[in-house]
Amino acid sequence: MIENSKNKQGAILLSDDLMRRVAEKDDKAFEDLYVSTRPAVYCMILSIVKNPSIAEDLMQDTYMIVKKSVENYEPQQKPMAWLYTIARNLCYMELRSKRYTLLDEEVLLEVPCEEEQESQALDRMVLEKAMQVLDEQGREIVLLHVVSGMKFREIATTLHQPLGSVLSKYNRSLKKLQKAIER
Amino acid sequence: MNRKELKKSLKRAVIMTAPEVFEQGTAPDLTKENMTMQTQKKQNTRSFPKLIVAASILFVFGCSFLASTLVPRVDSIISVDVNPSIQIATRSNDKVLKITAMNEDALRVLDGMDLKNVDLDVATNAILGALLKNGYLSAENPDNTVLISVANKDQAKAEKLEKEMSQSVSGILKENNTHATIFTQKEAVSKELQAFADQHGISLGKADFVMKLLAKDNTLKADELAKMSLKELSALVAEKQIPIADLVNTSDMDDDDDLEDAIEDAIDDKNDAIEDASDIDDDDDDDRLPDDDDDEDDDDDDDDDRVSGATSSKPAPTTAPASSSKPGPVVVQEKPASSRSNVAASSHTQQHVELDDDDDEDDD
Repeated sequence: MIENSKNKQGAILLSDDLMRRVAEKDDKAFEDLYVSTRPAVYCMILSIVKNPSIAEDLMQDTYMIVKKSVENYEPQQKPMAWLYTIARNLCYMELRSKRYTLLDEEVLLEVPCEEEQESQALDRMVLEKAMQVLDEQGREIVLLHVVSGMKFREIATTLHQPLGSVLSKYNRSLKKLQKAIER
Repeated sequence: MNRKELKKSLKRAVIMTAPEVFEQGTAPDLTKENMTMQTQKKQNTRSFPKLIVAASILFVFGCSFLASTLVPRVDSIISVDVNPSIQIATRSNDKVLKITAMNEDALRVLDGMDLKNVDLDVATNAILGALLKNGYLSAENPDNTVLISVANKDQAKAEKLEKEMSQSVSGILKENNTHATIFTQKEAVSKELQAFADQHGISLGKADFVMKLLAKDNTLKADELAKMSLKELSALVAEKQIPIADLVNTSDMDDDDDLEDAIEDAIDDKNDAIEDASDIDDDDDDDRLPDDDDDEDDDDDDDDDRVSGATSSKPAPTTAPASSSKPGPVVVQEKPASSRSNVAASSHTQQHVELDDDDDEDDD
């Protein structure tokens, strides 16, 4: 069995080779792709739709489309950017279909269970605040950088924004979120 | 909650809430009913008369090409040293004539790659990719070092190639989020240098660098220096404080985090000053702040439009990246929310958009 390239932390490296193997119907390769990109893709979707259950559906759709369309992936295209494009396109289609209405003040995160620790509750609150107070672009940039670890240059490329704008937006968004949490 | 704690908290929250939509070990069921995605196939149409013309042109150039290849002539020798030492010999048209692995690590990196007759920048790309893939350069290593040496009888051309190679290597490493210190140097090829390089199994470039270090510090030993990796040589130079400004040109690449912190501070200071001066409520639309007007890329002549490979994006009725004559995923052009009203007028595909950091990061 072919082993995927891994970095020193053991995380699977996304590569054209991995995508080629997914295109060759290698289920293990697909699983590796899914495992390594799941949080980042979810981030992207959630930052747009703000609704976790819808984000979950769209995430599933994203990977199904990835599996079906992977032969259209061109080498040197950067797998993550390609995945993000699919995810974002799905989100915007969903928003346009008006199957649901986004309520700015309502963020439907799951009701926390009783055993949830205080720190987890705080983390959840921070995420809810981010969904509430930040605009779509701010959410995308903050989540892509903070959670997915994307560099600002990559985010600028993915979102088709100037680097300076991304940096400014990121800082203003974090500041806004900080102030919202402190209230 | 400070910024660091805030970021960690956000990250934990997303990872905690990110659902598992597939069970481990199972592939998705592609017969899902509500899948509306359509894939488009490439449309390849060819014209027969065009083929004849193309073939004729190829025949003519093919003859010329054949003639030029009968007598290969080395114009430049470029050495790329990390720890693997790789030597690239090119013709006057900067196409690769021969690539030589100067040591075992280099053999492993090259792994039978056939780069003959490819453009130098393509070969550089392939070699850097292989170095990254084999772990000789790594995003996790803050001490990556690359030495690029160019030898050509024409000093002007040597300088030009030196600069191009440095930019090429920088670009590739940046694309791979890899921090590196890149040394470049021009070198004069002599028989002694060639002999030293051959004796120690290192490239001409590294040999030249070693010789120059020996000239600076006669306590150093040639055999030991020749065996050291670039990283070890850099450390030695630093430890012994050997002045090398006259030997090599260094181009430090700041890693993204350092650069980000510096830019973050500058932006914060600017925003604070603006807010203090205009007494704007925090709940107001931040996009009305003057500094944001400076950030938005409304003009076609702005720096971002000088990126390489920028082309128009296409409208995307489908969600799947379409296969078309131009590679790259299809990008939705419609921008649904008002927050996107001030988005840059210029548009790009996601294909290989390289930002010129020197220009863009000065925007703020």
